[in-house]
Amino acid sequence: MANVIETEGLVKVYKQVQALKGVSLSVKKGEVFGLLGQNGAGKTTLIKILLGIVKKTAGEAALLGQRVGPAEIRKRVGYLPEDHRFPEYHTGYSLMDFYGELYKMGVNDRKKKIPEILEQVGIAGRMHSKIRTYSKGMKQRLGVAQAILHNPEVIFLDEPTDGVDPVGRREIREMIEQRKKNGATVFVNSHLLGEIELMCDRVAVMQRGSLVRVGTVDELTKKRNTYVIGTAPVNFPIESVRQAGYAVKLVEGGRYEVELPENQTIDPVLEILHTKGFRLRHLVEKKQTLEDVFISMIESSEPGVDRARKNRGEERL
Amino acid sequence: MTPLAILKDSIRENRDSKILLVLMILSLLFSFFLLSMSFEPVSFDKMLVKTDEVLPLEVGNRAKFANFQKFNFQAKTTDFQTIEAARNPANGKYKFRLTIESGQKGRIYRSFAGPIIKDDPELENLPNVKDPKEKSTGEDPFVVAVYLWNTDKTGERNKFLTGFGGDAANQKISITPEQMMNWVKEIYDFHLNTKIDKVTLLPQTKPNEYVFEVETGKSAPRQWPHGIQLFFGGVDLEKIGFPPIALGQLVYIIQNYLINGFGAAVAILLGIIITSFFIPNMLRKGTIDILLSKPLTRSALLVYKFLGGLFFMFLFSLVAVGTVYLALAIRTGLWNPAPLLLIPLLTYSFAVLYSVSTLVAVLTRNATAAMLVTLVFSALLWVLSVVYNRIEADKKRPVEEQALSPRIHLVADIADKILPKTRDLDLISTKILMGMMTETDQKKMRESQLNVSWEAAFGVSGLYIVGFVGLSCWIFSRKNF
Repeated sequence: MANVIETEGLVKVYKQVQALKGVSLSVKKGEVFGLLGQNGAGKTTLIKILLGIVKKTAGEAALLGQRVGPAEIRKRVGYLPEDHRFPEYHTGYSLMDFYGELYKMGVNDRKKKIPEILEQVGIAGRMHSKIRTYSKGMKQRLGVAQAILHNPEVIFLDEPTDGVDPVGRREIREMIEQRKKNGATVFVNSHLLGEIELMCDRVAVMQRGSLVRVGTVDELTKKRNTYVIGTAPVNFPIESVRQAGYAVKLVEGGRYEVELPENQTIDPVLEILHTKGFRLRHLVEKKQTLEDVFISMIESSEPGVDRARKNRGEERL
Repeated sequence: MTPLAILKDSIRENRDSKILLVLMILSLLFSFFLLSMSFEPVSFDKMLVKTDEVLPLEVGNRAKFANFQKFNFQAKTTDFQTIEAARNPANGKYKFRLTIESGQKGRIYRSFAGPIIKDDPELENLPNVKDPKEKSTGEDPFVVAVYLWNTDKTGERNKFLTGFGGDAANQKISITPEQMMNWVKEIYDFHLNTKIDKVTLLPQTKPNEYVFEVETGKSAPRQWPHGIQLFFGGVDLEKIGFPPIALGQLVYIIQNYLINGFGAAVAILLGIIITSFFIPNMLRKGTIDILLSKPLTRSALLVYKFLGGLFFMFLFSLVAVGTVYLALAIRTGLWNPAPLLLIPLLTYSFAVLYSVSTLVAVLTRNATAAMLVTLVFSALLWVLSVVYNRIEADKKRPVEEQALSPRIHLVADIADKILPKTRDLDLISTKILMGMMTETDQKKMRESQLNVSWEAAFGVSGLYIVGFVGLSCWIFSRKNF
């Protein structure tokens, strides 16, 4: 499948701060791709380089098969920035109409699509009110609406559910799924890891300007070499298993978590259980939430927040 | 179409700032006030009464003399007849007799501005008269008045009148009857706005008395004096001390001083303040990100936004100048469209200042900085134009009387050539508005003597606009947001 987003050794330096340190990434057509990272990790910079809002210092970046920069390519792209501010002299409808004109959509097309999209994001009832009267959630919904108005092939959403209530979040998730079904590629930046877990096909974790992990949600959340076992009777032969070289601990529900030694499988444990007459009731490879993965990754690596950068001299060039 | 979209967006932004609406309402109220004015042409016999008083005064006032002299003769009109009556007195034809009774020979005129009465023992020792007696040619004052009127060299006439010598002062004065008749014709045309068809000098019966038979032709209504009434005839300005004025002059004064002067200054000042927010608002984080993600180049975005800002001034000029023009045209019948050129001219002048505002806005993203720098720039241009006018006046003096060094003259000339010419654009507006008057009325105005190069005014200012906007685009296209 063709890559719609591709970066190779992308570097961005702001005065003395290195925001991106050679990021190489590819996103396939039709994927919902999530980018995780702490504040100041470089997520927004990466998106802005792809959209031509920020100029790269070095490396390569391509969008829809073309080098980033030319205005023409942005016809096929939608973008919802984080902390967006719409001109408050507009109504929701007039703003959409203005952006529609910038995308060179015809008058009739705009007249038909704008109410439809605003209906989809749930603010059609207030579309003729001034934006200054909108709540934060409504502005966020409007932001999502303007990003998908022209039916783009690639949609960049930076914190799309920020300030939106749970119902609205679900609607936005459904909208993203709908776009995916229609063949669009969606690139999501979010701090809400639960959202990312629900929406994304693949996820990348960014730390201090570098990508530290990329993979599917399953790949990232699967905890390697640990199994959860439930048996009948419940008095698990802990000592026998430990003697075989496995680490065992009791977890919730009378089950046991068994951690495999290096280069060992779970089969010898199953053999022990069988030999001792235990019947297997539960056996799953242990998983963790994306949040667990993210937090453990952050804790095990260097701090990436702005505060940390300020305190640490080595990040500055 | 992208430019149209951004223009529409700017209109929306303009409309949202209520100041534009307030300005437009004020313009409409002023136009309504103008619509309430009535202009009544003065009857010719009433004008003749004025003639008798003014004729000796106006002689020295050809081409705007610094001094305003009253010559020592009396004028009196008698035997007034209407040859051809008309609804508008300007279009009628009249006949009357003008009698000039000259004063004592040698006592020529009195100046309001300085003590230069010839052979007047009471005043001959006043300090600014070098030698009043040397001008004592013993001539008939009326003959001297006609002679001076026919002296084309303004400098010579000034020297004679102010008592500092010159060719005219040392020559024996002689004039012909034709020159006297031409004087009558020209003086009525030039100062009293009346076209004279025929003047006949009757045989002289007394040595110091000259009698002329005068026939008028049809005059242009715009040069004919009109009395003004306000509020649909409720207030007669003549009764509170405002004399009738030629219609063209009145329209010129309203257009030039109230609209092109006061109105434009207020509009440009408010324009600078209001529009200084437009580009910084667009460049705010969160707003610019979305715009830059749309399929248009940064230069196009900034240029269209700049044009959108200019649209503020265009809209205001359109309403202010347009409604005033319409109101005056309806009430005066003068439909010359020249004043409408003020609309693009004001917008062009504003463009010079707005280009500065745009550059500062792109550099700082701060509306206050853009506003202050533009206001200072505008004030600086004004101060420089005042200083330049002073230096120019110094340059025109004889070398020995010049107060400033040639180096300062040179620096002033260079500065004048390279700086934006907002002052010249203003003068061009004035010149255009003068077209509302007859050529004779124009000659009476000081502005008619001002020289201004249209090419330089538009060219140099245009280069500044292109330069500042171009530089803004260059910086904008390289910025990270």
